[in-house]
Amino acid sequence: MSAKTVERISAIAALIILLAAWIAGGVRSKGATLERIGNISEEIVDVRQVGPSVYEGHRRGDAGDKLCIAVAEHPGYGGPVQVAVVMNSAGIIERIALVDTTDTTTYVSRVLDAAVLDAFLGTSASRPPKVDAVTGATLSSTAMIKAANKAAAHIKGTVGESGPVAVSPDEMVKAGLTVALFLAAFLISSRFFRWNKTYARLGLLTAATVILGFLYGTQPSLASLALLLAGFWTKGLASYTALICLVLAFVVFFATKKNLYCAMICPFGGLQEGLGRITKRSPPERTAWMKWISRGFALTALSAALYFRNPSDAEYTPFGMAFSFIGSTAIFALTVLILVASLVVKRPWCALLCPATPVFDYLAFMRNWLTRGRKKEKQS
Amino acid sequence: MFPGTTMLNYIFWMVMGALQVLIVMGLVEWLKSRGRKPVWWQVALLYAGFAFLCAVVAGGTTLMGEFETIAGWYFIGVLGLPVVICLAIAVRLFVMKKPTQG
Amino acid sequence: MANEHNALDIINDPKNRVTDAGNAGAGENGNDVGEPGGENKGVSRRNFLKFGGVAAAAATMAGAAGAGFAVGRSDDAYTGYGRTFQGGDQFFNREPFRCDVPVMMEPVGKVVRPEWTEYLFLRLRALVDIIKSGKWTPDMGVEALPGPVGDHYRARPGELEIMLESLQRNVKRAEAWKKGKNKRYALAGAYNMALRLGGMELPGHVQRIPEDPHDEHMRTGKPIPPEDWDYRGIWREKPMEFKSPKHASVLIKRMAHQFGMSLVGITKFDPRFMFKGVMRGMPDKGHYTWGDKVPEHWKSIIIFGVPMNWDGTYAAVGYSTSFDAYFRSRVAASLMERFIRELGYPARAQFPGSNYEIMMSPYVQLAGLGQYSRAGVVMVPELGANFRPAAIVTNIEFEYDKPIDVKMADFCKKCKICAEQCPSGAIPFDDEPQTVVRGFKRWKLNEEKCYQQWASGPTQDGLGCRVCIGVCPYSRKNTWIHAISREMEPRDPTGLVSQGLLAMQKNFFKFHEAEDYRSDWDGGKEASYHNPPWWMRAENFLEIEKDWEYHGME
Repeated sequence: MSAKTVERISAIAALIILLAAWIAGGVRSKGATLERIGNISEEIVDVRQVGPSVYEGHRRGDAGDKLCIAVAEHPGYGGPVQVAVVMNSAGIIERIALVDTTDTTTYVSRVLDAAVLDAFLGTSASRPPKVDAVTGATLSSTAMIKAANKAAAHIKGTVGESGPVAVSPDEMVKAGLTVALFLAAFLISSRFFRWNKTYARLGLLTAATVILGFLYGTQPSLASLALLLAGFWTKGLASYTALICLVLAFVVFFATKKNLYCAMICPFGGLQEGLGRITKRSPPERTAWMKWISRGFALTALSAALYFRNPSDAEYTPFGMAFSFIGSTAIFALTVLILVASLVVKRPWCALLCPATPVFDYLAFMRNWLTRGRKKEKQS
Repeated sequence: MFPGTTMLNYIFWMVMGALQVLIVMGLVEWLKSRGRKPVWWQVALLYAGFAFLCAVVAGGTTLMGEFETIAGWYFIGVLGLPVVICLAIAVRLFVMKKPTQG
Repeated sequence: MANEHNALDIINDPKNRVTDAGNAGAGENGNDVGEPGGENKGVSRRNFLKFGGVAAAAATMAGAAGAGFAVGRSDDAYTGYGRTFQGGDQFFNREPFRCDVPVMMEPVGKVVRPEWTEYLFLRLRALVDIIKSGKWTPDMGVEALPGPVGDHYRARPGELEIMLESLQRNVKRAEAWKKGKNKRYALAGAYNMALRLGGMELPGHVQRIPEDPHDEHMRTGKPIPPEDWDYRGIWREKPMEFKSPKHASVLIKRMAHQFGMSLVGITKFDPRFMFKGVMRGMPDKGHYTWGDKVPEHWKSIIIFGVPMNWDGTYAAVGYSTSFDAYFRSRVAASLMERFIRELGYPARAQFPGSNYEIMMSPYVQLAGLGQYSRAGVVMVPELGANFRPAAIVTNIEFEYDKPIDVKMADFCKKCKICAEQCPSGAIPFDDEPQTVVRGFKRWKLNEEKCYQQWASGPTQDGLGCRVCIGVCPYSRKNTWIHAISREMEPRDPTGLVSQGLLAMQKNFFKFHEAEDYRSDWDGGKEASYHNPPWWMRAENFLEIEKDWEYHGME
């Protein structure tokens, strides 16, 4: 079997696997919702749905003590955040829990740490308390507060119109800057650019590292790709910057046949390259086993994210850790290792582990395969 | 540090002190072998960077000794990485051959 | 372009020498490109230095790592259990930080003395007595609750319900203990009870050490005013005069250390912080008869204390106890009482659990030992929140200590870790102290909620939780890294050190969800910040099966 055939079979298999994961994930999540509602508290039993997003149960051991559970959604950082509010018959909120969140666990735990939701406990639905959002996790906590308010309103029976989610001016600025960066990349790579391309690339890369990386921390990651594929963005996102970045990267790739994102914009790439330039490292030779390892990683992680409908759970990219210190201890260790390795090898993450490389490889491969076929048709 | 003995502590630090002399002399010799003149303040900076790295490692392991293992690793990672990077910059500036012209 | 180096190589290469063929073995060339000269002579000086240097660097790093670890785990780090008797554990130099009024102790309104009902344990005992006597049952509602206790709860709607719930939870806790927790926590429970019933008190709440005037009153039936009790056993006609107030302070402080106390401070007795309606030794502890009298001879107050055992406290709730510190402080109080009376002066011990006429926290701050904190526990530089004091009230003229400001309370404003970790959510989250309590702006602890967690924890007697103390960033053993932070932070005018420390604390140290600390029947996992020390793990020594999971840092 030639290498090309192997690649073709793998390409199709990858597509099938992703699709299967997505379908299986859909089946799994429906049944899980009801179970998760019931699992909010051990004290609630006999839960059944009595309305859209409203469930009813009773306290364990006391069939007459009715407890009402309402679930509300609000766009969070990685997709919709679902908050469930448990209210007793006196209208007092007893418990708040996250039913389903696709937010990065560390973001969410920062908010829970601040006991943002606890401010609701003991209050009645008619007077939801003012709660401060936690800095560093602003989007997630705003989402949770709003969801809790909605849930409380549900129970009271006065559901407000869920209007379109207003996009803040901050988000517009971020989106604008992202577009500007890609335009610059497009320009630099085009034949109309007359100045020193090396310095221009480095300059743009530095700018992108500072803006997208350190300033905003919105580098697209595996979670963004999973978000895109799983369609969570249709339910509303709090920040579209990472998605815009991803989509533009693909658009530019198809338009110019060049992967401009990795070379000119990726902030983590910029970080590695910056470190590598300190010690003047040369890039490693990309052997076959390195290619297949990164492809395997990317496919597994992506499938898991689609299956569990939680893009951030399968996240193994260190971007969040490098720029915002978000992530597990394991990711931290990985990040430190990669950054130290960048002093010794040029762009080690890109070469060995980054899912972007296999993704762009895949797109290039499919493009060649399909256009070649069409070219042949044209010729014949 | 060495329970049950009275002298080992002092001996340990004396040996550590002696090792530092060996390190600096080795550093000077290494610079010479790379064709660079060992300038005193460059050697001092390089050694200071190394000493600071050791201090960071010692701090992290102290935390681990206090049963704060995760905090210890984070301490070494977050505080050690900038030191390593600065050392790399210093090596680039003081040790590596300047790029040839043309 | 010919490289200068290459030219010199050609010149210096012995092979190019015309004179002697072959190897000149060779002396040192002027410039070296790393050619080892004279391999046959053994390791050259150059190689020794280079490779020796590398080896030495590796050894230094390994030595640093080893030394760090040894220091972190050494016995010396356990402040309060080592150099205490020589006074070596009060190592923080407070002089640069003296101020006139403790932080957050500037009154913002009229200062009012606390009522005895504001002290939870006195209130709780009175409530239980009322219920036991049959005068009132919970279904009668708060309106019918008689006496000052009723007034207290009527003024604070919602709190009685929490307290009644706590009483019920106490029952559940005791059942859970009997059913199975007594196995997992066997050693922690035995340790706790050893100090409580083997040390502090006899069964039936009779104090073993120090003597309590209330017990004497219950025994004899006679009222025992402080004018009698505080002077008991004095045999000198006149008290011995000190050379000067300073001499008195130095001596008494040394004796406090000698009696086993890690920290000691002395200040003027400020009656603003004395309870109204409390005088042990009088009928009903003076609740209904004593009023707001202040004994004339209560002039000075000596505060001293020790930390609880460190590793156990980090393993709150189930593996911690207040009583090892309480017992030691009480012993010192008893010893100091007698010592002072032997010199001819009156002395009265104020000691934990609830044998006080005063609130301890303000005096600890006035004596310059520490500062107010978010959780309400006074924090001291040496021990953080892990400080359990006792005190002696006397009429000796001392040179008083002044309060200190080491910017601990400022750290509390941004830190909030205790509030995030409190299993019952009793600690407030306000950035600045907001609630005005008796004339001062405070972070007001919701004591009913706090006590509810005590009543629900996986302990044998429900007398404490201590999670806030264990997780406080200041409550650390004594190692060099903490010493650096402790000395640098209050001296830095820019606040950068404080910010850096806070960032490291929040990002390097991982904590649980607050609910995880609760008992498993209460929605928690019986998690602890650190896992219990080896000597508290029952499964290490006793024939029991470990059917639980530890949730904590090793």
